[in-house]
Amino acid sequence: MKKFEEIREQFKLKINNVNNHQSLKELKVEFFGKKGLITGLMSEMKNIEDKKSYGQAINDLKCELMAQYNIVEQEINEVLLNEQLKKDAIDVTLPGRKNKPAKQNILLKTAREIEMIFIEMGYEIAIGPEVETDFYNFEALNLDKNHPARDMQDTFYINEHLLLRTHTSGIQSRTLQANANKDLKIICPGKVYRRDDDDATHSHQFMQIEGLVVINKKQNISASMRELKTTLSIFANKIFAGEDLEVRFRQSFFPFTEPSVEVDITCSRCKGSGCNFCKQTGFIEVLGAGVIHKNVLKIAGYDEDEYVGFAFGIGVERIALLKHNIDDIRHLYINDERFNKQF
Amino acid sequence: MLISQNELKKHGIDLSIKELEDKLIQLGHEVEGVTSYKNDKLVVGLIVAVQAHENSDHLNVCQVDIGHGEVVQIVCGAPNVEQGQFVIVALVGCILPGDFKIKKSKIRGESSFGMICAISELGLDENLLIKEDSANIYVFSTPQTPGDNALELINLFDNVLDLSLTANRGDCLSYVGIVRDLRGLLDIKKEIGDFDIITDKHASITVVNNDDKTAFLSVMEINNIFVKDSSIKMRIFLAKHGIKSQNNIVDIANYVMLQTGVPVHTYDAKKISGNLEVDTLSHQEEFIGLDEKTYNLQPGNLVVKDTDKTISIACVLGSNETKVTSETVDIILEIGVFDPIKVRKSANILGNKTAASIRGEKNIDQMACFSAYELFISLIRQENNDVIIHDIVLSNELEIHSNLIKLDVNEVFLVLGIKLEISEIKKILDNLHFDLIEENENILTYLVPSWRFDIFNDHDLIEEVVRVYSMENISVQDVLVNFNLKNKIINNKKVNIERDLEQVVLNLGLNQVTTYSLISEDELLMGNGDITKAIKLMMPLSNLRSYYRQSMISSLLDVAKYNFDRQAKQVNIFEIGNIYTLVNKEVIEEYKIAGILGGIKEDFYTNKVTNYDFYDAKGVVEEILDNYKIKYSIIPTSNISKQINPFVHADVVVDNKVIGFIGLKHVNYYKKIKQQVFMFELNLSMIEDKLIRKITYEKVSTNPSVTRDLTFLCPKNQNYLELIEIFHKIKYLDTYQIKDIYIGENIIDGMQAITFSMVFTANEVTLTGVLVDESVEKIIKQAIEKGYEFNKE
Repeated sequence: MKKFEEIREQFKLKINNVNNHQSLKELKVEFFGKKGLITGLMSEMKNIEDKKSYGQAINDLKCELMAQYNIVEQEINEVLLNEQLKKDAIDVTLPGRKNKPAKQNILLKTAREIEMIFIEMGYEIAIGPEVETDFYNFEALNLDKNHPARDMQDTFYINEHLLLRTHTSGIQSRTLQANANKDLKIICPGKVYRRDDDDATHSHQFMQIEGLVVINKKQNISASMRELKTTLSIFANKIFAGEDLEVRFRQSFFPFTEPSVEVDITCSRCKGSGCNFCKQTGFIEVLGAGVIHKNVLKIAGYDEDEYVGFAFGIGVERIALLKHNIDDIRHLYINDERFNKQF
Repeated sequence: MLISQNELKKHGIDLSIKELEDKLIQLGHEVEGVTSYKNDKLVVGLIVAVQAHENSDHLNVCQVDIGHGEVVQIVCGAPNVEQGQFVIVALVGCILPGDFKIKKSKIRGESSFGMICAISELGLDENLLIKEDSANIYVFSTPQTPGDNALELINLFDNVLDLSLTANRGDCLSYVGIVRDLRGLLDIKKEIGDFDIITDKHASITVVNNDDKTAFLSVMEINNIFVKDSSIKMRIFLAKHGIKSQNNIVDIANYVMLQTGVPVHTYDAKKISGNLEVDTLSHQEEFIGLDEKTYNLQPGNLVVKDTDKTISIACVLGSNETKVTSETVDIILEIGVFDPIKVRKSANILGNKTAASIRGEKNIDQMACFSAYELFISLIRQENNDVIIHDIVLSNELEIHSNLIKLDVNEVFLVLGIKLEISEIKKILDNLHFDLIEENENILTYLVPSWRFDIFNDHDLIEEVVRVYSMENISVQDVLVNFNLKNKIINNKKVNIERDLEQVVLNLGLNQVTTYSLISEDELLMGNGDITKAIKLMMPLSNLRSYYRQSMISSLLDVAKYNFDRQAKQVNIFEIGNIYTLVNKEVIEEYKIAGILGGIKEDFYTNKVTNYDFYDAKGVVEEILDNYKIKYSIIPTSNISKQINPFVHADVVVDNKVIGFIGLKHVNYYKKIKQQVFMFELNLSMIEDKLIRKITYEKVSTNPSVTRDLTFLCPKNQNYLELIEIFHKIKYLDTYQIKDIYIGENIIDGMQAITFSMVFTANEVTLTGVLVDESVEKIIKQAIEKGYEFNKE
């Protein structure tokens, strides 16, 4: 039994000095290994009378020491694990590594958003040439030869009959003519040009999305001022989603629609209370619309008494400027990276 | 057009400013702004004593009774100040226009409690007033009650609305017109009375109309007039409406124009010789206007002449020689309904839109011309009861248009989407002076009033109905039901391609821009544009934007330069756009995609910084074409371009046609950009039929793929197409990519070692090492046959 005490003492001494895996392993071999001290006790069994209690004593000792061993092993493992984890330590307060996603110019992005709103409402996209004839750009839209808009001062003419389109309505006249006496529901996006000097609010080039619906009066569907108002209210609320806005329809005049309206929305800067931006009116004009003029349908080859419809024209720049509070239309065309990346 | 709230009140329209704005907007007359001249701190003062200021040679110290028993001391510098005058006093606390606050002050030692005002200090444009209105303080001509509001006494306690009238409503360029509309809306229609024109003498002059588009010219001679400054109320009335006061005669003419909408011109009768005629000029002519400026009149300008000279540009401007001056005693009054188009063109060419021309370029109600004469006569008689008025002389008989329009009541529903009672429709139109001629069940026949030149069909009448009914009263539906058409009929292939392609390229990491389509001649030529086919503007705003571009490269380089100049490290942008040319008078439209990559490319994950190179641009082009599974080759070009370094320039070829290029910007092109910039442009029209993405599933092997690296030793600038051709013939070779290009130690000068990483896959069989080895052997064998060396490592 004296030997038992010695082993216990020895174990205590050694285990206190164990501080890594290697010395732990050595300890395990020394005491619990095949040739270890505890196994060595077993070999003396043959000289002992009370084999049962001797065996029990060895087993108790083994359990006792093993328990101590396990605690230490766990401690060492924890230290090691911790050291391993510590190797990956970093400063989590440093900034993240950022991807640089490609950006679409905000004017184009706004145009696509507008297109999607109308596509969801069942519109088809129609396009047409930017270099247009005076017939499709003016005449077919009920602007006679002497209309002020046809002045050389206001329009980029290429020759007597060709010009850079001043609105995308030319697409409407072309599409109407090509599909005379059919029901139509289209939007016409594209670049347009006017002979204006560039400044914060004017641009010689800009983007329009015009829309047009024509439906036979005998159809179950109607395309009246009421549907027009509904359509444009839906549009305004979707494109300016999240803003609490009022949409106002104001009587106006365009040669190609009758009756005509201009659509105003609550001024985004003063929320309707009146400021310099909205000239104290509380409203900002966003687009023009109306019931298609009978002459336009007639010129396109429609039976103007059988069909009725509406049309609207949205200035994409205006929407983009209002939506993002941009103060200068020229930003949209300069493509300064620092500007473009904001959107 | 400017409209005074006080004046509307005189015409029976008594509404608050907010109500006025709302009603006018409802009628379609946009209110662009409101100017208020109202001020409660401007009162009548009686000067009870005047004493010269001790420390000044021009200032006076006045004691002023400002009402309610209060007398204050005011220092005044006006030369005309005198004891006993009733004047306008700005009290302490008054804020005059221009944010000028009146405070208690000391002027050279004397206290001053307010300011005695001249008319020009009350907010009106000084240039529209007479000299006296700025030089002198205003003195009431009759006794007043001190303390009363002074502005009310001179009709300046008023708001003026700035209306933006629509082009079709020329009839509203007058009080008569605006009031008629408002009365219609307010349901207080007033019948139009007969004219009452009493003259004294037969006319001795004749007038001739030589222009077939001019309705008529008419004149009236008036003798024994007395020219002087207008009354204060007239001066203020005109200034509120943006018109300069001249003298009592010209001012009455302008007043009549503002009231009736009819431009009225007055000549000094003694300066007119013989008869008057309206005619178009056949030659150029120098003309001195009554504004004393010289104008060069052009052939085609419409003018009024006497027997030997041009006396006015019709409805735009009278001549200086014949204008009414302080010496004038006889005048000739001229009223005409001229050709509106010629009036507009004269006004435009002269760069001089006058109050008269703005009205004259619209159709003028011929009947209103007689109201204008009637009003002028009554006002001139008030000025001087001794005037002698001659009969009106007309160039020709009047032809008053009378338009009949049928309105089907059901059409109102179809156009507006609301059901209105027939009685309501009738009431609205009646209030707007449309005469119901016939009523047949649902069909109403109306006679259009003489002043409405904008009413042609039933929809025009419906517009009248909704103006009064109010657009706001058409209710918006919650949702649009049953509003989809069944058949899709529009061919939007091009739109689909553009929308799809932009997403493809955005996904490749390039930023999409939009730029101006118009460029300069230089840019067109440098960009290999064909000037003979170019779309050129007749009247560009500047030479920098005079041609429609045929390539987007120069526009993208502008963007690149702008950003590099602002310290951008990299520019990687693309644009999709149309280009136009003119071939045999026919417009040809094509569309292109162009891109630019330049500067530093930063890899955010490895913190490696490299320059953009040719292969970045080529990679984009390849990705685009691969996306649509288009077969192409990219080969060295034989074309010479001023834009591109000839040694870094490739054609993109599809179906044996060059559809675009990839290249490095030539150092002599766009010299201001110092960075290396790689560019590409593809003509999408040429491959439109192939730009359709149809994805069909291809079977994917469940077995792992096998990767092998192979290194070839070959001369620099070798054309790799041969090597790639070999790869394409190898059965299990799925993909390959360049892993490394090595030039340097152990490699002979002029040679390079290229390592490909090759992925082998088999779908049907299990890919064994043997099969892969066989494939690799094939590649090596064929490559050696073509003269490549194979590096066994």
